[in-house]
Amino acid sequence: MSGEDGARVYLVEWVPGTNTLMGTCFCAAQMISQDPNELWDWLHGHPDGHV
Amino acid sequence: MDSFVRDQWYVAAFGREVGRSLLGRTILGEPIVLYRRIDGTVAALADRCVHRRYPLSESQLLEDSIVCGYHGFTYDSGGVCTAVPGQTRIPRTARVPAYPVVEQDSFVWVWIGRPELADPTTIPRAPWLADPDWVTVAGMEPLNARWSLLVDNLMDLSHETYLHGGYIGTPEVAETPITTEVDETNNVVQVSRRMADTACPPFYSRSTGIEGRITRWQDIEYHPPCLYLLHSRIAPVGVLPDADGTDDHAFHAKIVYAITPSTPTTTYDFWNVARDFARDDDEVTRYLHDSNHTVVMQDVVALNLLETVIAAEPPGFQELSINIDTGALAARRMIARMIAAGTPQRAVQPAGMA
Repeated sequence: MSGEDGARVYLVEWVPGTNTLMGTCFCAAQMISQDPNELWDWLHGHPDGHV
Repeated sequence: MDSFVRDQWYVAAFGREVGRSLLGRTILGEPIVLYRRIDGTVAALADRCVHRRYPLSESQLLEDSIVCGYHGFTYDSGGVCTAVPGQTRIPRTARVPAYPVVEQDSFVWVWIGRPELADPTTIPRAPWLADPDWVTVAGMEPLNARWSLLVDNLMDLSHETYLHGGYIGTPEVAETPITTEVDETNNVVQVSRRMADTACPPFYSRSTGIEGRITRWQDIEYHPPCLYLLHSRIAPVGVLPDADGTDDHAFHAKIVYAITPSTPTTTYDFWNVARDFARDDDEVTRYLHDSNHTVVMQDVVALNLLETVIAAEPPGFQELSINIDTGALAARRMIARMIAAGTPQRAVQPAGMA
C-alpha cells in the first residue's frame, strides 16, 4: 500500500481472534503467516513472490 | 557491524539541563561538552582538550569560552583555540570539533556524523513538550544496556501487563492484537493497539478520575533512531472521537522517549509525559511524575539485567518471536537498513501537526 505522499508503506494486521498476521505490501500483494519474521522477509522481498 | 546510526540528530540533554556550567555527555561514543552562551544559545564541543585530552567538561567557563582545567588551553564556542599558556603562537591545529546543535521541543539535539549533512528540518518533532496548553513531567535515566533493548521494550507494549502491572499494565494490553505500519520512504514505524473495553490502570484512573472501564488507544509512532512517541487516548468505554475529528471528551497523553545511545552498552533514556487534562492540578502532576518514574525504573532494572545476560551469550544467540513482536521486529529492520545505508534519512512530522 502507498501512503498519502506515495511512500512505500507495509501493513501487518493481527487478525482479531486468531493467531494469524495479514501482511499487505505497498504493491497490494498480501500474505498471511503466523510468523512475523517470515512475513517481514516476504514484505521486504518485494517484488519476489508478490502477485 | 557498527551498532549506531550516524549522520542523525540525537537528544543530548533537556534544555533546562544546559546552563552556564559545563555538562558532559557521551553520545554514540563521542564525549561532548554542552553549555549555554551568554546570548542563550547552546554550544556543543568535543569534550577533550587537544593538548593532553583533559575533559573540557571538568574545566572552567569564562564568558563564552572554555579554559581547560589542566593547562589553560582556551577555546571559543566554535571550538577554535584562542589562547595557550606561555606563548603567543597558537598551533593551527589547536581546535576541537564543534557539533551542530538545535534546541527544540524542550530538547537539545546534536548532530552526530558529518557536519555538512546536518539539516535541522529533519529533526522529528514533539511539540507538546513545549506547548503551554500541555503539562509535561519528564526525567532522564541512564541505562546500563544497549539502546536496541530500549527500542525493543518500547515497541512492544505487551510487557506493560507483566512488568508494569499495577501502574500502566492491565491484562488487555497483552491480549489485544496490534496493527503495524512501516513507512520505508519516511522511516517511520507505527504500532497501534486499540482496546475498546478495558480496565483502567491506576496511572490513568487516578489522573483522569475515570472510575469505570475505558476505551484505551495506544498509537506508537517511532522515528528511528532517537524519537519515540506514544499517542495515548483514554475515554470512558464507548466514547469515540466525533465524526469531524474533535475529541473533547477524551483524555490525551503524549508519552515521549528520546533514546540516545551513549556507548555500545549504555543509553540515555529521556522520558516525558505530556497531558491535556487536569492541567492545573499539581497533585496529578506529582502523581504522574512519580508513577512514570517508577515505571521507567522498572524498565531500567529489567533492561540492565537483560544486558548482563545478553553480554554473556555467544554471538548469534537464538530468539523466538511471536505476533506481539511484529512492531519491534520492524523497528530492528529499519534501524539495520539505516546503519547499512549510512546516510541521513528524510524525516516526517508526527501525526496531529499542522
